[in-house]
Order: sequence, then structure tokens, then C-alpha cells
Amino acid sequence: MTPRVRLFAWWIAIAVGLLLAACLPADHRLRGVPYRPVRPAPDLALTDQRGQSFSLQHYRGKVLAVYFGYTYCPDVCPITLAQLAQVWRDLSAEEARSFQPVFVTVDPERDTEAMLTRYLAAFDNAVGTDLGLGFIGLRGDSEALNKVLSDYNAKAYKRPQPSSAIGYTMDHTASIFIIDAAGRLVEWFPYGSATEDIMADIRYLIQQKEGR
Amino acid sequence: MQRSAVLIVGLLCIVLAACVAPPVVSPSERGDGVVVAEAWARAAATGNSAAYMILRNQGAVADRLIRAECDAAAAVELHQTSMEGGMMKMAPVDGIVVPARGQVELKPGGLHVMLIGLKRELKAGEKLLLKLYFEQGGVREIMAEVRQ
Ligand SMILES: [Cu+2]
Repeated sequence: MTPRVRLFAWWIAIAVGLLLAACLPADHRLRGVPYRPVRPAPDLALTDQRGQSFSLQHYRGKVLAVYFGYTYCPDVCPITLAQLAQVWRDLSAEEARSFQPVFVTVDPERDTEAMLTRYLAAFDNAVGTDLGLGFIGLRGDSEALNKVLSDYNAKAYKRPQPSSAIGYTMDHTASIFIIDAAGRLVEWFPYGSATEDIMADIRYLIQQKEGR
Repeated sequence: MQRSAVLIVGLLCIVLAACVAPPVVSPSERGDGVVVAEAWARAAATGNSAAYMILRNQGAVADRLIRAECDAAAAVELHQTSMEGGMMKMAPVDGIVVPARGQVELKPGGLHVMLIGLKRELKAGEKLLLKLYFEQGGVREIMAEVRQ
């Protein structure tokens, strides 16, 4: 090959590569941190704020946003739940039926069913439309909770605060885990992600399900 | 012709003088002590909440916010939230120093006035009275707007 022909061959190779990249399916559109490969979401074998046992199986067909936190948290947790409330409110009525945010408390000692009910009702009110059950709050004993935490590679540590009226605080993972309508863990968002990015992915995953 | 030129120059001088003159300063902004701006508190149905604000020290000496009070909470403390390796942490702090001619921002994810054990719901739109105790400047009462 003459140098000119060789150069031409390179250009062709690059053009074909770019075309292939553009045709690659789905995942690259996600704005969070994708799981590679996507895997079945570990179950959340806990009970909800109404005392009912929860199972992910019952939520096939919905896109879930799972967040670990505690109601004594003054800002990081309410900021994240308010973001999810905003996403839920901004979805169309039809899309909204395919979305379910889930709050898993890392502080079941203080976050009783009654506490979770009152705490989450404020976020339901922020969404405002008919939500079915609304925000789901999950709790469990330390064994059940630790299983879920390790399955999601999330962490929570109790920190005694002897000088504070709060008694203790919880250090905890503050990411949002996204489960698609097929029950797969597809991506996670770090704390502080833009609401519009979360919104874009939730909507995309809901539409993907409808397109199937 | 010459007279009108003198007149214009004269007028310009008056305008310039007005611009250069020191602006009128209200007593509350004049040095001594910390000015509190943009105070707000997070709406909450139950449990805890937090108040945020900007503390501006226009004085020549550093001051320190040492504690706060609020009727709506069982206890009020100064806390700091931080993110470390994707984990949220929160701990009490021993006062918040406001440097001389400097400012400190209390904001979500950082320093805050923690409202522990709310005695009533904090509804968006209402005003919440907070008492701030400064080491140098003494007590200051402020109104924080409750927001989502
Ligand atoms: Cu705090």
C-alpha cells in the first residue's frame, strides 16, 4: 500500500468505528454511574411503614429509586427526597404510575413505622398528585438491614454524640440506586446529582419499558 | 459660547462630587458586630430541621456564634454536615467563627443551626424566630423564612 492508500484506510476505519459507537444500545444514555454489567437488584427484605413485608418482585414494571437515610438527618436526606418528589411531580400522570421512590432507614431504632409515616407524608404532599401508596419507607432489624446494606454495597455507622441532644448520628451512604422496570440494578447517582439528570434517566427507563 | 462651556464643566464637577461622596451607611451595617442575612429554615413535619444563613462580620474583630435558641425545637445546636467518600456525616461543632471583615455561610450539606425535636410542624411560608448568641456581639434575634 502506498502511504496515501494507507491513510485512506485509516479514515475509513475511524468512520466505521464512530458509526458503530453511535449504534450501540441503551446504557450510554444514562447520566448516573452505570452498573456494568447490569444485574438483578438484590431484594429489600424489610417491612414498610404500614407493617407490610416488602418484596421487589411486586414492583416489576416500575422504575424504583432507592435511598438509604434516617429521619433525624437535617439536610442531605430531605434534599434527596425532595429531589425525588420533584421528579415524581414533573412526570406525566401516566409516567408517574411507573415510578416508585423507596426510603430505607438506617436508623430503625428511632425511625418507627409511625415516624416514617409522618416523615414521608410531607414528601407525598410535595408531589401532590395521586400516588397510590406514595413514598415507601422500609425498616428492618439490624440483621435484615445489614444484609440489604451489604447487597447494595452501602454503609451505615452509628456515631455516639455525647455532647448533643440528638444522642447519636448515623454516617451513611447518600447515593440513589436506580432499579429498572425489569428489576435490574442499572445505575446509581452520587449525592448532589442534578435533579434534571435523575429526571432524564427515570423518564428514559420508563419509556424504555413502554417501548418493549 | 465660552460661558456655556464653563457651565457644563461646572455641572460635571457637581455630578462627579456626588458620585465620589461616601454612601450613607445605616447604623446596623456600620462595623461593630455580625450582620445576619438570608436566614431560612427547612420545612419539616416532624423530627428535626435545620436553619441556614449568611453571617457577615463587618467589624475589625473576629466573632463567634456560640449557641442558638428557638421556641419550636426541644434543643438547638450548631452542627456540621459533610460528605466523605459518598458517605454523609454530621457532628456538633464548638461554635462558628466569623472572621473580621469576613463571612461564613451556613448552608445545606455544611454548617447549620440544628433544630432538634420539633414541637410543631414547620410550614413553608411561615417565619421562625431564632436567637443567636455571639461571643462579642451578644444576642441577636432574627426571623428565618421556612422553605421546602
Ligand atoms: Cu445537624
